Amino acid sequence: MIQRIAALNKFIVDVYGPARILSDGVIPIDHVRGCPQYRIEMQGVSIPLDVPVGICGTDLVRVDEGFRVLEDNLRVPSGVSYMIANRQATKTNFRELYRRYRVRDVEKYGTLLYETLREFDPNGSNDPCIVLLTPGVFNAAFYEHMFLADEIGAELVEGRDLLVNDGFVYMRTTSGLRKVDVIYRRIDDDFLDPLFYRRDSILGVPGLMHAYRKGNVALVNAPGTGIADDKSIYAYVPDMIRYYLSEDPILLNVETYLLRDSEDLEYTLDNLEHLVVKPVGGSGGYGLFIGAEKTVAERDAFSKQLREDPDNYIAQPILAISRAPCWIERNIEPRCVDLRPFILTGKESRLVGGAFCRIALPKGSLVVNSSQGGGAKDLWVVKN
Amino acid sequence: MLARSAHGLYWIGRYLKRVEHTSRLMELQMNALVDCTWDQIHFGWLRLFRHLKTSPHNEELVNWEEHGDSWGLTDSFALADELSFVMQNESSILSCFTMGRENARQMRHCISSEMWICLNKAYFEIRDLSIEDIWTRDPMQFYANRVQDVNTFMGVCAATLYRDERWEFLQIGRLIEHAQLMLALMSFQNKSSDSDEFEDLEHYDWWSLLHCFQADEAYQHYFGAKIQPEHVMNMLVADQLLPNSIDFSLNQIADRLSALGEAPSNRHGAMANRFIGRLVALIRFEWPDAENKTRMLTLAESLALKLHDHIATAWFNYEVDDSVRF
Repeated sequence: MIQRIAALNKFIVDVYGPARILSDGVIPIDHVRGCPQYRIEMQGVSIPLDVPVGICGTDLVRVDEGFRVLEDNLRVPSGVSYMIANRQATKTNFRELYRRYRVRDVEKYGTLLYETLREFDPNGSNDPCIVLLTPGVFNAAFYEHMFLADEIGAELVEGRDLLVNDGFVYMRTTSGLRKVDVIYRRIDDDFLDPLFYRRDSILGVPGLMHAYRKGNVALVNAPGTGIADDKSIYAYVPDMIRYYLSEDPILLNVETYLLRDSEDLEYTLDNLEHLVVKPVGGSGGYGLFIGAEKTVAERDAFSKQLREDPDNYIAQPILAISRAPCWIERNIEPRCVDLRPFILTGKESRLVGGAFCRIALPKGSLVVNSSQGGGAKDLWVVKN
Repeated sequence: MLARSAHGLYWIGRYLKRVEHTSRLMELQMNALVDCTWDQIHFGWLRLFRHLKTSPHNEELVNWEEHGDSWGLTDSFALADELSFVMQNESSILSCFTMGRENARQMRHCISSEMWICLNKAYFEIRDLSIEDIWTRDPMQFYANRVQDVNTFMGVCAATLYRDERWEFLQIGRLIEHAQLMLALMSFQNKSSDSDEFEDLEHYDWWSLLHCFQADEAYQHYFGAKIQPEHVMNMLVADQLLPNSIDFSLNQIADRLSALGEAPSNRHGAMANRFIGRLVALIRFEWPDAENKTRMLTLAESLALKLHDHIATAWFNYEVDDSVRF
């Protein structure tokens, strides 16, 4: 995972900078520049520490051949608070069982997060003013925002608490305006700054991008990181690892067909019943087309849709992902699970010995996303 | 601390004080329904609605004045509902509890987990109740329990909240709400005893207030069993030792503001300090000799409103150009 995030960070810095990987033809230029997640505003911006992705949540599944990366979440990955809440629930309810194993600690995540964010301080001080920027109480992840702000001892701010003056970001405190050095932002790029992105955004801070571009404040993760977790770019991550690190990838991708490629499109159309098709810009498990679960008529209709707009889709084989015993309505039943470990990167990369483990709750379902009714489990990484 | 968080804490204090205050008076009114005269019941309702500066949403109840009618026993069910569970009424107990909790939900990282649990528990106890649920059982106990809920919350708060600005803003909110409500209540009570409309106002209505604000024992100690409206009024307004008196609250506010120190907006911070100074002086030094008490209470009410405005502008919604930077 450390190898993977190192390559992804280098890729993002490169595509918004000299774009060597594009000029060397490793990734077709139109795949990057034509991607909706490509942020032209980030072109030429100096990114603190050359680390655009400080917090990454990589989704892993286990298949017969071993672990595979399902996707990388490089924008505002969520779920870490549930990992810790699940652990606390386990420790409360299974005290003796827990004591018998030498389980690695996940609760130090807050300390690691603080250490990581501190390294992004543009002034290089030991005590930067760090805030967590949330869309507010109506956001589904507000609990997590509050939890993390508490863990790292940062103020939980909304856009209306911040303002930009003379190229610096300030927050309104009861002692006056306090300069902000590092913003752990939990709102999407589109809403960050109404002067740069969506003009109707009331969640963001007017002028924030101006302050960021001047290097007066650090945004973690940086805007524009979505370019590297777009599903059509995902297929190139092994190439990125070879290109930037001159290493072979340790963790492999799931085999992926890019439908903008005519051969891949034909293969997909011929084998739709064995594949899952995903929209490239989608997330949260929305828009998935699982061929095996559809009728012939539905597959035919979808094939037509794919022919009309192939650039917008990728296809992957339907995986036999590993299952774990789950307590379902007073019975123990198998359910599919995936793992989301969180990788923190500042001057160095850090991980906790655990992951957010998601469950597909409906019987036979492969969709683990929380937004689609997925559940969660505590995951133990046991010391040798 | 973040200005918005301070603002939220200030309003938690205000909303919960309003819950407590309304519950106290509602308990009193439920008591009155049992054995008081028709006039007293009407007066009790009028006192509640007028000093809370609200009116029922039920049109039939609102139009009573036009018809020369009075609020009596038969209206009491709907009136109690209005001040207990009607969410459109911003002064109702449920509405204030909900708003207090909503502020706390957004400020959970600023309050102790014990405070949150306590508030949440109290909220869920009443959230799904209706006036029917309490009316046929024990309405007095219901209101007494709400007072207890708020007292418990404040106790947990005193035991667990770090004594920094969070504490100060929560307390300032609670104290300002108390001062404003008491000023409005005393003002209404005083006007009523001077007016012809309530010439039959009996000692019950004064005694009940003493009881409501835990001043009955102290009153008996100093003045004996005979109820003299002037003494009751002086006690609830200007007694320096009575925790529920206006004077006591104002002095506490002055102390809390002084503990906060300089505000981001110096101008409004200074105004807030001047207004609290004027209020304290008004109640402590001018009140005892004032001939027109009603006028003095009205003046104090308007000063208290302005005090709130200056606090809000000095610490929460200050102009950027005015403020200190660091």
